[in-house]
Amino acid sequence: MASSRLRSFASRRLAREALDNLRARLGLTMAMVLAATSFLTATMVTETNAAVETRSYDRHLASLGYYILMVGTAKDAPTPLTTADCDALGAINGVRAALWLGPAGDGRWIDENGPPVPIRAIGGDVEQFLAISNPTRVSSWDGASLLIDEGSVMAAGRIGDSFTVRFHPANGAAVSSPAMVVSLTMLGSGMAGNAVVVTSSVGKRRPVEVCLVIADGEARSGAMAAVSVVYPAPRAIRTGGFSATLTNSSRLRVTSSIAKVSGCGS
Amino acid sequence: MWLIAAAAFLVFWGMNLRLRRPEFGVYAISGAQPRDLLILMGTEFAAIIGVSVGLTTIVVGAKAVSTGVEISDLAVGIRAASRFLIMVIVGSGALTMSECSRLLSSGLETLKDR
Repeated sequence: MASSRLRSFASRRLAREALDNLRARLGLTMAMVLAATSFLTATMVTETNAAVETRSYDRHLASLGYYILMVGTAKDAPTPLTTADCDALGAINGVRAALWLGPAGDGRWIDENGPPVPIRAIGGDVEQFLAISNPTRVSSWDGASLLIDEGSVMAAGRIGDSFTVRFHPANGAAVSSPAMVVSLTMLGSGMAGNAVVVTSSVGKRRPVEVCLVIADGEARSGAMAAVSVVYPAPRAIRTGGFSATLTNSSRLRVTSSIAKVSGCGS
Repeated sequence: MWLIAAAAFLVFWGMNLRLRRPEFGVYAISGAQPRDLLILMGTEFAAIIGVSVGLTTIVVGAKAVSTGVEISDLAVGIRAASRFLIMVIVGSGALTMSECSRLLSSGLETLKDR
């Protein structure tokens, strides 16, 4: 009993002293509150803004009036997608353009010490893609092999017309290439500021990261069904954008799609 | 993002514990029980996190209302913040317990390490 009272007395004294000490170094405690608040706020704002950006991208695509199906290779797929697979998807009824994207690579603008520019290989129906995403500029495309997103540092001060740009791909020698500034955001929100090298896939069969199938809005269901017929195995794994969740096959996992919301572009 | 933020906060919390070592060391060698030390440290941590969550709610809430952010987008931020808090609570708890046990097992030696 006595020891319990003694203990209680000691605890009260400890608490009082701790409170006194807390008051004496309020600055340190406030600094910790400020740090925790800053980190928490930065985390919330950054993640929320990223979600808002993605939604804006979805709406931008939807406003163009096209449905975009991204077909990738599932982890357990026996073979990766190839350029030939993507080319074949272009024959589906209602598909306006079928493209393939190679893996992302880094390059340098001007020379090996220049500003970094993410560069991907792209192929397939590039002209049709340009006609959809940049209808006013497609007529000026003369087969330039380098397409630069209008948000890229390389595009600063240039609009439309083809010009020559010197860039240095990673693991390669510097090259001078005809280039044109276009909007690449239709290839995915991550393509903003990127550049793509247009590569012919005729007669070649090489692995790709993703096939992009751009179909008319009305052809959405038909295109999805056709893709699931072409790839009955769990190989086609995702679509780009928008909030609608569509699943038209137990084997084809389609997580979302772009819906056509206006009559333009058809 | 949440992982980087949590790691940065844990560094701050570690520095805070280091700065407070003499104070808690005095409590320890004055006969404070392990439970008392943990309650002291834990209460202060809970107060810091509680005030921070309140302030963040006010700041982010005001921003969300003024910019008209959709609930589903805000939910993404809330999920990330929850992960941050879980990581911070677990990490800070581990750091605090480790500091506490060090003080109690060899309080004088720890105090000399300044």
